[in-house]
Amino acid sequence: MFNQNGEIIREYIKKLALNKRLAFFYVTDISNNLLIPIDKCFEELNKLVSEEILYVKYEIRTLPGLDVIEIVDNYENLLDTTIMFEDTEYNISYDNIFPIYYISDEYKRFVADTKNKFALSP
Amino acid sequence: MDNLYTQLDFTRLTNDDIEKLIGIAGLEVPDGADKHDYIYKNRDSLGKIESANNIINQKVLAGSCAIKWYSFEYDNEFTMDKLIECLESENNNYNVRAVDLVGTIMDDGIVCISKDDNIYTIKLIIKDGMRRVADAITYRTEQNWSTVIAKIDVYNKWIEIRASGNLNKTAKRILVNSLKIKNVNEIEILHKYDHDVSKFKDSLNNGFYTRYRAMPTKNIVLTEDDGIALSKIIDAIDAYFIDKDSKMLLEKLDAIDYDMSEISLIDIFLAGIEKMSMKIRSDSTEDITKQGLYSVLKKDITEDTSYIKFDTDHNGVKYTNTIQVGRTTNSITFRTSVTEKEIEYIREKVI
Repeated sequence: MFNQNGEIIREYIKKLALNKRLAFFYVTDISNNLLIPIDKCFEELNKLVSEEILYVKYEIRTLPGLDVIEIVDNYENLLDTTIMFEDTEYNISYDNIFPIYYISDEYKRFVADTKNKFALSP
Repeated sequence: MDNLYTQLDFTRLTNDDIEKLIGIAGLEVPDGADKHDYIYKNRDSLGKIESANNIINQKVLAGSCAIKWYSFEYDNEFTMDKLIECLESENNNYNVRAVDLVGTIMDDGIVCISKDDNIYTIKLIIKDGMRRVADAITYRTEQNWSTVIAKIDVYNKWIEIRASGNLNKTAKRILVNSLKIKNVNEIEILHKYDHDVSKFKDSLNNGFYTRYRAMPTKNIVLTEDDGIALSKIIDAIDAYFIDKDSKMLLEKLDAIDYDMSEISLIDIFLAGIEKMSMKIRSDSTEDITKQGLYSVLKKDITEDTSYIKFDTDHNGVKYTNTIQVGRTTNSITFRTSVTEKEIEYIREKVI
């Protein structure tokens, strides 16, 4: 079956890939801008991660303050632990973990090259 | 529900509630007496006065609290009859007075259960860390206990747990294990409103969005040159608003040697921001959704914690309440002391 959300999200990621100043984005950027439910966005972003177009890290934030404690590659070993941040102990649960998505350099180059190629076409 | 009441529950009454109760019953509180305790000890006589009884019943299990809602589904093994059987079992102290159980509870669990219409109200007690009790020289550590109120509607298949964070999780675990509830899922608080807090606000009576804490939806990293160019762009736009000279504006923008491709002005504003808070002036007649900056930034931020005021009516008297909507925690926190009526009102909006 045609996956419309998948196509729309891929096109949007291409646009983001051209933004040289973009470090990373959250799933809510896709959801807010494309009006696609977050769970659907996660599904599609996971596919792009498995295709190595994106890679994912995790921000550990305090709640309810939303301060970033650290950015990690894996969060599993942090679940149900406590982390000290600015003299306060925080119990870490899934609520504290925010996936952040980076676009791979290779994909950024591919998108830029494709754009230039089409721009130069007669 | 008065089966569930204990002395601690009466601390949820505000000073205003206490004064009302004293006034209604014509009580004379002895000098130096703890008014909450005095009201608790006189609860039986107060209960005979309808208006006083109403204040107590509406408040002692409500007040200021954080709430999360869950749904559940029946299946072949887990049926409504089995759930009712569990809820009304002796094991779970159905219809037992909580005060009669003081001193018998040694571990996390359900204290007792009461039923009102089709909704069961459950009182739980949960170990909540240790606390230090100090004198001038030494200290000792003691177990800290918290009570949590939960409600279960067996027909509409929802659970309400009045606690935040880990207490909420522990209460959920106890309920699931003790009542053998299956297929329990968090109810997303904004699921009826396209996950848009301003739509939720619009659904409330006189809903008024006062402030939020948010995080940008992406991280943009600017160079020093970007910063210089940005200040020049803003200067040029500023000058245009004063002079209304569009030709000059274009000339100034053209003169700025800056590659704006694939980046928006909003990206530039939000660059490097980890989180942001915005609160309208307390004398503002328009809420935050009517402020220009909110509309401009809305798509590029995640409103994580939002404060909303709304009105309810109690026998012709208007009450203004404040709730905190937590997107990440998927919870509603009543920042003002509310009654069962307000909780029911918000519950109907959320579920």
